[in-house]
Amino acid sequence: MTQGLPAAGRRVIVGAHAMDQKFFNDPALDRLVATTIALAAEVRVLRDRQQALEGVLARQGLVVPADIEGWQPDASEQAAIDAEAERFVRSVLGPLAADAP
Amino acid sequence: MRSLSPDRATLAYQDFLRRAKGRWARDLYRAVAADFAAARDRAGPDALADADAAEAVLSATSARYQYFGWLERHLQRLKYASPRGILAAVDAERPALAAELAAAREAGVARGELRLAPGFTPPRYFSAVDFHQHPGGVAGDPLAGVAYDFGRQTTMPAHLDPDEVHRRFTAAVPAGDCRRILDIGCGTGRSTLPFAARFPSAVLYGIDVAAPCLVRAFQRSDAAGVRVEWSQQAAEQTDFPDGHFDLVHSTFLLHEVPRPALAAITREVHRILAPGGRFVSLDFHSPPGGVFGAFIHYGHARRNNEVFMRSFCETDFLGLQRDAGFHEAVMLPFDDGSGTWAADEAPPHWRFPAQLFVATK
Ligand SMILES: C[S@@+](CC[C@H](N)C(=O)[O-])C[C@H]1O[C@@H](n2cnc3c(N)ncnc32)[C@H](O)[C@@H]1O
Repeated sequence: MTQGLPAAGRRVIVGAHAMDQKFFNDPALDRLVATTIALAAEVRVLRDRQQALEGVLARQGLVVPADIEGWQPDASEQAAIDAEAERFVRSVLGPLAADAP
Repeated sequence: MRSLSPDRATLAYQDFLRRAKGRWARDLYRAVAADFAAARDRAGPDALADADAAEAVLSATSARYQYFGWLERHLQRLKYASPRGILAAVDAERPALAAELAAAREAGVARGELRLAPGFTPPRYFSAVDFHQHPGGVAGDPLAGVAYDFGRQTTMPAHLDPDEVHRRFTAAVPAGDCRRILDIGCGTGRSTLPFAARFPSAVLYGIDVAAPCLVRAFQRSDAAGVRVEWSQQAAEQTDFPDGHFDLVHSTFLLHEVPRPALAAITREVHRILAPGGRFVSLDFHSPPGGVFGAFIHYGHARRNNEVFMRSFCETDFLGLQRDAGFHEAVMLPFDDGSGTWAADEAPPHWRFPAQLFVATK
C-alpha cells in the first residue's frame, strides 16, 4: 500500500483555496493558472447573463446597444455596479494571495 | 424530491467547468499521451518502467502534463468549493432543503424504511478523508447527500450520462431468482433503485455509513414508489443473519476503503450470502493502457484525494475473494458507454477504469 491515512486527527482537507499540490516547476505558475481559469469562468458567466438579458430585452422590443451607451446609473445602481466590480476583482486576484499550506 | 436549483450564474459557472473537463478528458489527455510516447522514444522503454517513473519524468518535462494535473485537481475543487460551487449553492437554499430532509427522515424512520443508528461512529478511514475533494465528505453536513447528488451529475466524463453507468451495471448483473438484494455503500440510492425493475419480486436493501446519504436515498425510493430497506451500517460488520441475501452488490465502494477493510467487507458479504449467491461489484481496477494507464489512474487518485484507489488496484481482489471462501471469482470488462479496451490498449480519452467483478459463494 503506497498511500495511507493522514496522521491521527488530521483530515485530507480541501479548503476554498487549497493550493497544496503543485503542478508547475515555478509555483507562481500554479497561481497564475488559477487566476486565468477564474477569469475565464467569470467571463463565461457574464456572457451567459448578457445573452439572456439581450434576449429578454429584444422580446420587449428594446434596441439594446443604443440604450446601453446612453444609460446613466443613479446612485444605488452605481453602488451595485461598484460592489460587483469589487467582487470580480477579488475572485480573479484571490488565488495570487491565498495561503499556500 | 427537491434537488438543488442554483441561480443562473452558478449554473453557467458549473457548465463552464463541465465543458472544461470535457476538453481536458480529450485534448489534454491526448497531449499527455503524446508526451508520454515521446519521452519513452527519447529515453528508451526501460526509463518509463512503471507509473512512478512516468510520473517523475512527465511532471518534470511535460508542460502539458502539468496543465493536465492542475486542471484535474482544481476543476474538481472549484466545482465544490468556489463561491459559485455546489456547497455555496446548498447554503443558499439551506433552510428549505433542511426542512424537507428533516421531514423525509422522520417519515422514513416512522415507516420503518429508514433505520438510522444514533451515535454511530463511521470508520476513521472514512471520516478522515475528503474523498473526491468534497469538503467535509458525504457525512459532514446533513445536506451532504444533496450536494453529492448534484455533484454526481458531472462526475463521469462530460460526454457520458452519469446515470447510464448504473443502468449498464444493473443490466450486466447475472439474471436469476433473487429474494433479497443488498447494495453496500449505496450512497444516495442511485445504484440501488435500478435493481427494482430488473428483479421485480426481490426485496431491496441498502446500507451506508453516511446518514445524510441514506436520508436522500429514502427520498429517492419514496419518489419512485419503490420500497427499499435502508440502514446505517458499515459493510465490514452488519446485523443481517447468515445467508440472508441472494445478491450483494456494490458500486464505487471498494476503491474507497483500505485493504484491511476490503478484506473484512469481503468476508462479511460471504457470510450474509446464501450458498450459490453472488457478490457483484463495479469498481476501478486494472487500468487499461499498461504503464501509461496506471500513471494516469494513480495520478487521478492523488489529485482527487482518492487515498485508497491505488491500494485497491494493487490488491489481488479476486484472490482475496477466493480466500474469503468464494469458489469462483472473475473480473470482466465493463462498458460505461464509451467502449471497452484490452489491457495493453490506452483509451483515446480519459475514463474511469471500471471493471465488473462477479464472485459466487
Ligand atoms: C463513491 S460513493 C458511491 C455511492 C453509490 N453506490 C453510487 O454509486 O452512487 C461510496 C459510498 O460508500 C460509502 N461507504 C464508505 N465506506 C463504507 C463502509 N465501510 N460501509 C458502508 N458504506 C461505506 C460512502 O459513505 C459513500 O456513500
